[in-house]
Amino acid sequence: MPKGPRTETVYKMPEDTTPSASGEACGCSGVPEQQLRLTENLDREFGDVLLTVPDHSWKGYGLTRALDRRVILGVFEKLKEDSKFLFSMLVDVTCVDWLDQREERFELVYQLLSLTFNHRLCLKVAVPESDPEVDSVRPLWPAANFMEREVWDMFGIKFRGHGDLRRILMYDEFTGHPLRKDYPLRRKQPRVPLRSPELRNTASDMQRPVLCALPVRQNFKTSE
Amino acid sequence: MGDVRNDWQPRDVGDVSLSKTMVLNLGPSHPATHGTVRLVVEVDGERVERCDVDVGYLHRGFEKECEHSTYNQVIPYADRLNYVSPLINNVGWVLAVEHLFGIEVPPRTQYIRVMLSELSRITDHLTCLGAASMELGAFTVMLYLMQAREELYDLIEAVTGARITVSYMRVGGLREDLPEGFKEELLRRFEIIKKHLADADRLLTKNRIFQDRLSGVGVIAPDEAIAYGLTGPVLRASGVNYDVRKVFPYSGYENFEFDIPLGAKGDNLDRFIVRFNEIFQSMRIAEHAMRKLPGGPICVDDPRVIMPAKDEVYDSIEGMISQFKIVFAGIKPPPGSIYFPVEGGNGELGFYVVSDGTGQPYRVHVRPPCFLAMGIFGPLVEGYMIADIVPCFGLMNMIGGECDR
Repeated sequence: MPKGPRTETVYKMPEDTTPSASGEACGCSGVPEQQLRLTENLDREFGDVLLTVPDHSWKGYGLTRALDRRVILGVFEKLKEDSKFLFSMLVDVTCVDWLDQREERFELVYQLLSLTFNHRLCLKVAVPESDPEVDSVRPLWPAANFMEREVWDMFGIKFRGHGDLRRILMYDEFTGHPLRKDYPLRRKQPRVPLRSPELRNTASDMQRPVLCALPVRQNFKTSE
Repeated sequence: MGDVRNDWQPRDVGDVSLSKTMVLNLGPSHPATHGTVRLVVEVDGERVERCDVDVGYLHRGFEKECEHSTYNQVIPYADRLNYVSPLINNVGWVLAVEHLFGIEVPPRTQYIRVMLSELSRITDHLTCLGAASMELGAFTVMLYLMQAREELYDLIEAVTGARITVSYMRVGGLREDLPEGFKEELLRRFEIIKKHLADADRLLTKNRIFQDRLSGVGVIAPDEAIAYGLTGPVLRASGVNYDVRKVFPYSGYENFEFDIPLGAKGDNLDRFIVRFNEIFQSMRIAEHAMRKLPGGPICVDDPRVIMPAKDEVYDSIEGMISQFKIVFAGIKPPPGSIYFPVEGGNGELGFYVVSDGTGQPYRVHVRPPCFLAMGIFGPLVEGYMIADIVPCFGLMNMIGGECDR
């Protein structure tokens, strides 16, 4: 076996070893200790800000809280920096479109992970259709860059302070936000005319030029 | 430990004719950006000033399509996510839905799932290393590793019937049991794979060109890797010990003994060697799984998810109705949501499933590890040369199906 820079068993299982998967599968028993500690700390620090919602059904790792969209940045910053939480990784940002089933149409879901304590947290933020705008967490975790762009692309939720909010999976001339429930599965989009090299490739909904602009007539340079 | 580079802004290219730099377009159809990704690089001579990654060329609407399919109909779609390790996607999806139900599969199923996940992980790493070596010029290594991969594809085909589009897992179990003589065949083929890996190692590890091309290039500091949400071999190459199989074990992984290779510097060479060593660890797990494979049923005995036996379907009304409802209406988990991560070939592959109690999921979201790797790719290659883009990209292992869904 080739010798790499370091190949050793450096991982130690935490003392509160989670029970084997052949134990309880429902979330009611066998909750790992770090999740219980996290729950206590969350209730103590954020008792009024974070509301309890039904957990994800996964042993306790699916610990879920809801918060108001106006306090996102403050809460996330504390969750990231505070020595009891240390959520160093933003694992996922996604959105669910509840359409008429809820008063506030969209629900942003953030998954956080702490590599220090090995605890996870899921935060849900309700976003109304009338004002689909929240603060971006990109200043805290650069991982949010692509993930928030995808939520904008698919659902149309704007992130203040993101700095580069443009479509990521769909092409720029696409109209609409495809993962919304009122966007039909088989809708056809109008044909995009061939992009002329003279035109800047402007994201039509953001009205700003981006680096993807195809350059205008470059002079061939031999030396500078 | 560098500062976290989080300040990438698009810039008006301005009057390019007067600037020193040239804007080049790599992709989306490019032999070295395998997978359809477009890199718009602004270069000053050979040096990359800025790079913008344009993903989404393989976006097929997986998440939208899932809202219109039943839970078992999603499984062929899940195959096509990370198409070099389809069984891991299968396992991830199926486990997420099983946790929604609150059901637990029998131990034999768990061991088979672990074994097949590891086979898929080996195919993923072999593809990545082979393609990366080929792009550096070591075409022979690619052929050796592809030959090794063929051995695995024969095994996977024997079990599931297909090489890539496997659709083998079902919610609550597997499609069918392993064939006869599988264990001996697997152990025999692993020896062949180890020979191919030894050949590849002999060609590469002490190779001057290989070392110079990869060493010190594409360095990602550990805190930067964490801040960018990287997981998997890329994160472990930067020295961070995080593997979902160890920290949040699923499907019986806590019963298996394996090491986690870690890198020291976080450069391309570390990513290569971490993946290389992970192949050996995966073989260790798969061999253990086969040697200790328990007997018993392969599906959980739960009429909510598993179709009744065929003789019951034909002979009893209840069996026929049950079969009909499961196939047409779909299985119905209780309303709720779950985010369930598994360790994919590239890192933490998470499935976020929202169920509203009907036979079709209300919302499905895949957290793709290589999507986030593309997030860091732009800032990563700044300052390096155009020729360094190729190994950096290759060793990130961007799989288009997973990144774009």
